[in-house]
Amino acid sequence: LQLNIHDAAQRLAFRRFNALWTPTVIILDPAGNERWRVEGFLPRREFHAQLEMGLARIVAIRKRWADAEPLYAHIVETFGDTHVAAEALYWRGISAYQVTREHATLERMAIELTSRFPQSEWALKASVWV
Amino acid sequence: MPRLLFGDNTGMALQWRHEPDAALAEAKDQSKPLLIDFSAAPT
Repeated sequence: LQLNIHDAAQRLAFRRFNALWTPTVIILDPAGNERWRVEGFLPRREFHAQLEMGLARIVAIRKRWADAEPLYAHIVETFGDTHVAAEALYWRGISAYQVTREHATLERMAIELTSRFPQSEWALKASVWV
Repeated sequence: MPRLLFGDNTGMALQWRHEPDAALAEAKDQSKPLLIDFSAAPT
């Protein structure tokens, strides 16, 4: 579902959701909890990847790891050239680990992150498993 | 292969809502996520 809030007419709603700037896009889960936020303009492809991350986050935060893993894998595969790719790869690995409990899953993810996205903070976060 | 959650059709028509409380209630009733777009562009 989509809700548009326009600055000129709905300033209270901006305050309610702590929107500081436009454009801002927030993804809420069905219970109304904020799960993802994009502040500022992004080109279409980057924006699309962010939206996919938001929906994957909703699944992951419910700890539905077996469902989350293919969503993150899809983002890595389809949006591997975007700025969210490293984060998606990280969470793909975490999701897979939560399903299998095999530590080697984390190590493989860390190696792939270091190889593909060596400058990302996600490679740093995964470096503990290398 | 999982489907693209938001589809691949950039010309897809969206049904924009404009009342936050009603949209939140609708999302809850339908168990669907809610995307909120805060804009300032002239309408």
